[in-house]
Amino acid sequence: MRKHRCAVLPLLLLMVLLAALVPRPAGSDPSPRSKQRTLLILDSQKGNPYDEVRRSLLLTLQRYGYHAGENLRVTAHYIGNDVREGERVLREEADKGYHVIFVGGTVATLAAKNVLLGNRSQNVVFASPTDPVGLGVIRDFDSLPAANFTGVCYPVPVKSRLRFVRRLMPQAKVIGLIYAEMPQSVSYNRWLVDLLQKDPEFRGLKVIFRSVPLSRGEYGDDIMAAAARKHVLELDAKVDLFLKPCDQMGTRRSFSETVYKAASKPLIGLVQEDVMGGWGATAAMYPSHDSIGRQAARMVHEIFMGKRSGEIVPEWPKSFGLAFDLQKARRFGIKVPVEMLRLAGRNVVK
Amino acid sequence: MLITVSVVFVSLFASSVINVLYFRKNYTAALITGSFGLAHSLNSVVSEMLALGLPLDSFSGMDQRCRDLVEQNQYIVYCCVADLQGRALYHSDPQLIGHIFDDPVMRRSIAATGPVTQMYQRHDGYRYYDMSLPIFDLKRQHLGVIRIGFRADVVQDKVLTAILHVVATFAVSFIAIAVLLNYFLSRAISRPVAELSRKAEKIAAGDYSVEVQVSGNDEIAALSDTFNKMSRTVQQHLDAVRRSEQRFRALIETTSDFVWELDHRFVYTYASPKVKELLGYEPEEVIGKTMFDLMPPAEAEKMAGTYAALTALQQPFAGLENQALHKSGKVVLLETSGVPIRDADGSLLGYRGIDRDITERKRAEELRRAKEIAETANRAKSAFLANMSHEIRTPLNAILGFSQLLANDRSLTGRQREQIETVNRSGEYLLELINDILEISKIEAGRMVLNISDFDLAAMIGDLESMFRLKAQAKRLTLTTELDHMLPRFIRGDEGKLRQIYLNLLGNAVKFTAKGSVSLRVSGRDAGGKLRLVSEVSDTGIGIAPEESGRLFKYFEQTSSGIRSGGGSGLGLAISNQYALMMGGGITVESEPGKGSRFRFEIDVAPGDEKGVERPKQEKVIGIRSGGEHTRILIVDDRAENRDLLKQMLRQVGFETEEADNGITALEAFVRWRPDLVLMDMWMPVLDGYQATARIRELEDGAKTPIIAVTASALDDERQKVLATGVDGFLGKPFRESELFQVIGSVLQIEFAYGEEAALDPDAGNNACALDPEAIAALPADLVSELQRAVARADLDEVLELLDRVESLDKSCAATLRSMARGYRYEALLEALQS
Repeated sequence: MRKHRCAVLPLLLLMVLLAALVPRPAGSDPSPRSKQRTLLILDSQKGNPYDEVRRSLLLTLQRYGYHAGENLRVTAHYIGNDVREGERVLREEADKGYHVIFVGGTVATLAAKNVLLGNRSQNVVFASPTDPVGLGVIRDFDSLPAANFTGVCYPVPVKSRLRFVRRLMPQAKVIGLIYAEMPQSVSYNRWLVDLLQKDPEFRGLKVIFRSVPLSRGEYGDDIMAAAARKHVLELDAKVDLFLKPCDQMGTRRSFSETVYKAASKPLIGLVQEDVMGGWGATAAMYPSHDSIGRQAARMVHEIFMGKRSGEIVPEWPKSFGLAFDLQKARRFGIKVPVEMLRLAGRNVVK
Repeated sequence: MLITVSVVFVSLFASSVINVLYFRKNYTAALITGSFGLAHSLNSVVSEMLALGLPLDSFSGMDQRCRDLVEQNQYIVYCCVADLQGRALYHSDPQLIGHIFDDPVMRRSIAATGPVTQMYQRHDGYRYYDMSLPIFDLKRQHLGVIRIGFRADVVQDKVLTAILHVVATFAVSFIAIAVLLNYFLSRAISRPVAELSRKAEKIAAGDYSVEVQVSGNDEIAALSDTFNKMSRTVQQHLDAVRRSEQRFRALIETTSDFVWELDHRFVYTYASPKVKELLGYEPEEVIGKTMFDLMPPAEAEKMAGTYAALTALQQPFAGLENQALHKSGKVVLLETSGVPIRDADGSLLGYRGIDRDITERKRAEELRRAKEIAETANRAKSAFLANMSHEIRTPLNAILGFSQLLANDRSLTGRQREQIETVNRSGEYLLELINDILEISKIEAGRMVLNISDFDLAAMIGDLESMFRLKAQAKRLTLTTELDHMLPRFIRGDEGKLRQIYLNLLGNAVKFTAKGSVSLRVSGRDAGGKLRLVSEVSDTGIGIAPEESGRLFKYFEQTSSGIRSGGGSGLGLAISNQYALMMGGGITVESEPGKGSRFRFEIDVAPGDEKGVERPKQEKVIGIRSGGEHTRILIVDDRAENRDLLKQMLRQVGFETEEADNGITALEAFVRWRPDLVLMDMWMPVLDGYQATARIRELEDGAKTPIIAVTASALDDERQKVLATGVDGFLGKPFRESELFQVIGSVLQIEFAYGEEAALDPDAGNNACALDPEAIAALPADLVSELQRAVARADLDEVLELLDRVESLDKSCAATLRSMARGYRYEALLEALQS
């Protein structure tokens, strides 16, 4: 607890600094934003994608005219992928009357659900949970939410991701997917199975699932990756590629490194750093964290402007990116189409 | 030039305008095409994104791609991806992302299902070329539009820049072309023409050495080349004229002829400097005078008619001889030649010609004619001598030959033998006389040559002393010979001629000395590195009167004492003197009547080599030793006695002979008899020896059969003529036996057997005992004394007469003594008689 509280101060300083560096957009109308707004940020843990989404959120709010220290008061917490810690923070902060509580990631969203779902007076905006529908905070992405939760989910649509795999490796038949035993994984895996069963486009494609126990804490992803190694070795001869899971393990570095070192098959990553950070993935189709932040900021702005969170339709991420490591692609015999390389733009490791 | 420049200007301007318009169109099209290319490229990326099932606005980084596209393509100003509502989903300008465009251009772009190019008046106030490309998803559902734009003034700027470039290029090109044109025109036309003009002025001033530099092959170059050729031709002509003038001036001034020009009245208008040499006048003195003024009056009168006739003919004349008067009054004989001088119409203006002094030539011609007459006479004399020699030697051949054969006859009595030998000696004397005459003939004809060889001088002096000692003793004269011991024993010179001089001088000295002494002194002296042989024959005889000394060396002239002596032909001293002169000196004489004479001469000799000395064989051929057995010799001679003589000589040594009396019979005999050698007389009737030799050479085996020419001709040119016919040897008539066998041996490579001449005498075999002192002692004392005196006088006739008397007493002893006498072995003979 003590540790988490101490982390609030540097975050506030960072936001003040960013606010000073980013010029205000000319011509913006300050009138609706003259009142003080309060925003509580609760991220599942430190690091990406939460950091990038949060930065995009704040920058976009600035463009809308909300400047930290002026007309916006921001309080931020990390809960270390601990639902209970999240619940505790929320209970402490709930009485302070935040205009919006922003929860980042599946764990934070789950904690918020446990504490705030049904509290119509509290507007909750989530960002980056893998499956908010599965969590039960919204009904779907096509209608207004049933409760006080709205926001932007994280995953790349499963169909797009499988199409991406097909474009890269048209001959691939078996995909290995090792996931952490946590809610978002369950949701994502269900979508994947449904798609393979129902969509003839992907007939003939098979996914072999293996799971590792969820490990929380600062080194949780390392522990999970170490646990996944045996599955990697076991699946290596059976699969044509590994697909990074859409969960806590999938958004971090260790699993990518483990697969790259232990397997002889390529890994299709989940985040940009899987390729550009040199974690070990050969290619990645990732959601734009910036876009998630901007989409969430727009929702926050609307709430600031008077809407209720239940009046805002939840959204998928609106922007995705591609990244390729051509050296690894050559190693695994993958020929990346030119158009995809153009699509990736600068996200190509040569 | 102005036209050329104008044409170039208009051409360049027109081509520049066309190029600009063409460039503008192409450049715009290229930009539009390029823009569409970029749009398609962007669309392919969008399509890839849509293929993944993502919405049009879901691609992260698309804004960056739009910005990159603008940044990477300088002329592109904006790039936008908009949905069908005109909302800018992605834009190169971040401020415009999300902006909804509702202008007509956007509406037309959205409405179009294909590429559209429009002019777009954008909000920034500029006009743009706007290229739009519709976006379809995989199901051909129209989702949006890609728009790319570049400012219209980019094209204008580019065109303007291009125009500026073209104008600049045009200006630079025009200036460059103008400058180059001007340079080349100046170089090709103006400068050469100016150069030509300057050079022409120089040529006009007389300087033909100028030459225009020619480069290229254009008209100016051709003109310059022609100009140079003309200049060179004129220069060459002028040079030729100058050289011709110099040549003729030099000829005129150096020729010995007097060159002149006359007008039609024969008045001198030009006279060369030689007139001074020919006639003693200066040229200025002659000019203005007529040619007749310079002639003796009579000659002038005669030549006036001649020249008048020449003038009428108006023809060149040459070699006209006439007389002229030298300024000194001397008459000069001239030879005049001239050609008429005419004007352009052909009218006679005068004459130009030369006078040549032929006075000396005329005199030389007269001398030459006289000389020719003399030479003709001399040739007649030589021919006479040759004929006479031949005619005399021919019978002498028989006389001497047969007398020699008869002398070998063992059946002859001593008296007969003496008579035969007298015939032989007479013949020898006659032959000697003939030879002397021929020698004179040769000397006079300049055909006498020296026969140089190495010989033993000491032996020669010894022989001479031996020869004359008995004669000197008989006259109780003291004969001394002195040979300078510093002289080499063997010297190189004409032995025969030197011996002949000594014989003549010593013979005369003994002959014309009654008491006292006769001496021969031979010494040598160095004359500039050469050896001079100095000989003196002195006597204490009757001497020579001074008035007669001039006749000593003339042919056929004798001193009064010589005439009184009753002997000699008067040729000896003359011939000796000629010999001495040929050998580098002449005979001089110092004499005082009643006291004696001293004859002296010097000749050039050189130290000789003993190896070169030929020692004459004194043996007689008595047979064939080897190589000549059964040798057949064909004797060809028109005179029977000559054939008979040769036949006997040849057969006595073992040769087989056949005879022919002319060339025809010789050819027949040659074919029939196949001789090994032919002795061919050259002068024969029917077919002479020359033709017969040539015909034999044409026969089979004729070329390899030796032929020896036998002729009485003693002349050298005759000998050369004979040898030129290709004969292998030459034998002059009359010949001695030894000469005959020598030439035969040489030609046939035969080795003869020799024996003492006396050996032929059958009685001579006992000579050894016959010459026993007792045999001599058995002879009457007075007969021996007479013999001794006759031998001492070298009076061979008397000796032989006395030996006839001996023969009646002791035949063999007489034969031995006769043999010794015939061999001039007087000393041995005297010694035998005294023993």
